Amino acid sequence: MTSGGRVKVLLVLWALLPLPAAAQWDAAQLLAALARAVPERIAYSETRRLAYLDVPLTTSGELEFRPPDWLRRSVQGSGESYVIAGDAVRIEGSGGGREIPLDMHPALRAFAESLRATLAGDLPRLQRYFIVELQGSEPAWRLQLRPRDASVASVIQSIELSGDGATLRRIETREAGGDLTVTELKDGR
Amino acid sequence: MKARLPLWLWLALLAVGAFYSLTRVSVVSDMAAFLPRGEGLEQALLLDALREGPAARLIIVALGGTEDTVRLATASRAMADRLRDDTRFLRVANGPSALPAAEQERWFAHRYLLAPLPPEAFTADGLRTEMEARLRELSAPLPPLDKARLPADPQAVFRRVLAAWQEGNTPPLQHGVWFDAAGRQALLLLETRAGGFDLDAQEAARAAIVAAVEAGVSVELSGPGIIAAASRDIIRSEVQWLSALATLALLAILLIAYRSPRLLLLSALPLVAGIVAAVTMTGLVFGSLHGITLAFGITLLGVAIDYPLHLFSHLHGGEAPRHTLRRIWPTLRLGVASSAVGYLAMAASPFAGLAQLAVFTVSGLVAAALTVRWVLPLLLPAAPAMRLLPFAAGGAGRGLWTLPLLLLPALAYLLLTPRSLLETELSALSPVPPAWRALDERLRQAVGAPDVSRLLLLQGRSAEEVLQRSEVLAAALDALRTDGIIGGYRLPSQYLSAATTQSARAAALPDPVPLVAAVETARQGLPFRAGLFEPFLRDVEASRALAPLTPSAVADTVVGTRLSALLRPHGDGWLGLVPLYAVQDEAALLHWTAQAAPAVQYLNLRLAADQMVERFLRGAGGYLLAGVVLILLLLGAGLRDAARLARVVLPVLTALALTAALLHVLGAQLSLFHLVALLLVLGLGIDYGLFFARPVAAEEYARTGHAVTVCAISTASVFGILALSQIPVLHAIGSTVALGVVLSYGFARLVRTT
Repeated sequence: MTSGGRVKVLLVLWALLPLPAAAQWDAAQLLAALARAVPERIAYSETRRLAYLDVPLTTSGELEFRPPDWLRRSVQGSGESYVIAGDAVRIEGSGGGREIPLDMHPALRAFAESLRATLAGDLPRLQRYFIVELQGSEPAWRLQLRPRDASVASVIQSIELSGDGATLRRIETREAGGDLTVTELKDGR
Repeated sequence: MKARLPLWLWLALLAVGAFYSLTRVSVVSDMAAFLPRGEGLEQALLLDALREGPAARLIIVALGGTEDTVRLATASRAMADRLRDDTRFLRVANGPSALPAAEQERWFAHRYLLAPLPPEAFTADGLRTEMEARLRELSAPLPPLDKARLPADPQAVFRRVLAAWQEGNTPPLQHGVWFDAAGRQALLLLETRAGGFDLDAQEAARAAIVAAVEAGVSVELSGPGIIAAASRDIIRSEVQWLSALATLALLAILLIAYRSPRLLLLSALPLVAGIVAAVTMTGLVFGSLHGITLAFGITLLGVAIDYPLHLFSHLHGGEAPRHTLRRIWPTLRLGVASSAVGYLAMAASPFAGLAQLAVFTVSGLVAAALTVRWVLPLLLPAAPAMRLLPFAAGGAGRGLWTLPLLLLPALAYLLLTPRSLLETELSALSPVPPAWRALDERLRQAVGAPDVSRLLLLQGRSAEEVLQRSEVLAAALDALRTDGIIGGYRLPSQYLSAATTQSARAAALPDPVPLVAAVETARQGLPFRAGLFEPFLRDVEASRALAPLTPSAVADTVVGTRLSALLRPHGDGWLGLVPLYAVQDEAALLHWTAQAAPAVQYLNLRLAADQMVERFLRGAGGYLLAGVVLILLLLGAGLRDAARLARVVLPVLTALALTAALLHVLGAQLSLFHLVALLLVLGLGIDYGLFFARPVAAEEYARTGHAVTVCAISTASVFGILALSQIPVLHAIGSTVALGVVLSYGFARLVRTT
């Protein structure tokens, strides 16, 4: 009896254990998990629906991330790559390169950090530029980013990152004026 | 009653003079007015730049005091927001700033008149190239920030307009605002509405800046106006406590020497009369009085404090004061006359400042001497019982030959030293403590504030003509930059094209029909929506009828104010300023300017300013030398005895040479202030020599010793106190006079006859 009672208590405890864990699952945990699991290279494809154009623009390429703050985005076909390192973005193309300080415009900085800070798992940095809201559950989460700064909001309406578990699958960027960019990330491992 | 007549007359004159001085004579404080008057363009510009120019209205602010750069950036933004609402500031910049939205729309509407475009810009091929470029930008990971402009501006013409206005070297950015290179201080650049020499307005601006600083953040600020206002304050407070201290010292010395409060009061009368007479005469002759004349002049009048002391020390019980005076008057008169003659040479100088100073000092000295001669004896007790302290009776009779042993090496040093004797930098005339100048230099470097000391000048009959010439010059300047002769330049036409150029661009814009066809052809095969470029077609058509923008039409814009700094009326015509950055090869540049078309003048403002001061100093030196020769002639005529002449002048000349040499050895370069101080030493030293060289009986001899000793001690103490000041002017004058007086006195005493 005694041992059966113990088993029951243990079972109840086991059953209870995941409950508080689920309640505590939050943006910080998500970002920490993303940072731990981030692959070195991620292939992506992007579709951009713009009000100016009749047809969507599609591109694809590769993201390369080295924690904490080096991110390269190579665009396939054009031969162009964008390296965000430190406080500047370097654009390298066939015609040489040029460097733009991220603080040239607040929207540029916010745009760069939306991906870089996410991959680095740096929630405070992300929250410096965005109001961060987590929706859904661990197997299917959505992280809503809305710019804090009005001048950023005049360019970027919102960015929604979504995925499952420790994998980032999709980025939806809504620009002011209704333009929508959807970036699908493929597992690069 | 008749005997009192001089006293009444004196009082009446003093009252009239004081009234005139206080009500009619205005004191000007403009440094430029003290410098030589020249007609050259250079000089007009230089003086302009010193007074009103945008450079003089600049304030650099550095925020620091915490390691947290995010906090500093926030503080910088908060300060900029507050100061932008403050009408005292024309411009508040703390980072890459977009133009105000309303202004941007105005410029955008004129984009086709403002930017140069290649000839194929409006052909189907040209448009196609631009559209493809826009499409690439749209598909890039970082979307273009000016995406909203695309339908109206598919060629991105407005970007060209903005790029032409881009300032050359701006400070590095952190968190969106300017920081110094080390990343420790956030930087802001402000421009006040008021001129740099409107000191009250500058002080108000400074207060507004300090009030806008967040708690926990420290602020440093600098700028010509800020420095001028702050140095006025520091001079005021220093002069107050220094003069209080000096007055106390003087009172104590005189009280100890004469033990009579009455004599103490009387000793001030000649100086007061001298100052009133000096201000009055200068006002009558020149119409106004320069602040520097006033300050230097009163310093030079310090010799007048000695005149009554000579009288007091020679008083004795058995004699009426007027008899005493009669005994010493010839000597005193010769001293006053020789000083006055020395300054008179300067009155003939073409340098306004020197001439004023001469008139001021001569009239002051004469009035002081006349007060001693005619007024003081009437106010002294009939037969005063003087109790003199027993100092200064002794003395050596030999040693005149020893003086050349000091004089010649000192002169040799002054003539042969490889280090420049004269301080010719304009900044050395400034009363600003060196620490502030260092701060200013550091902040200027941090913000990369353009060094506007080297520039080209363009002249024209109208603003339009200057702008046209400025456009022509661009190609040549580009070539100079490519050749590495200059690092960069800024032309007025980079802010605004000439009206003729704008009209030509408007006239070259295509008719609507061919443009519609070209757009349609260019769009073939590209995904741009049909009708997307309607705004473009409308704007091109509207631009064809636009009137060109003129400098006066854009004067209220940010760009317009920057233009007005480089384009300004001058005489009947207009002047264009072309600042050059990083001039590497001045000789090659001069060679180019000699044959440049359109004609330009090269100007190195700092060099020009220093040359002006040097000319002034050399001129002043020449007149001083002429003054010394006149003094020698006068003394020779008055003394009629070569040996006595040598006894009078050798000590003071030796003292002057030795003082100058010692100051130079200790690291000072002789500035205008040192020269003025040496002039005072000359006047004082001649008095000492004259009195020591009087052939008199032993009892009188002791009195003379007392008189000269009291004079020397009081002067050395007062100026020694002045030497404590941290203000370069006061320190220079104080140390020079104190040293010179001690040496003059010592040498005169060494060679006195017994």
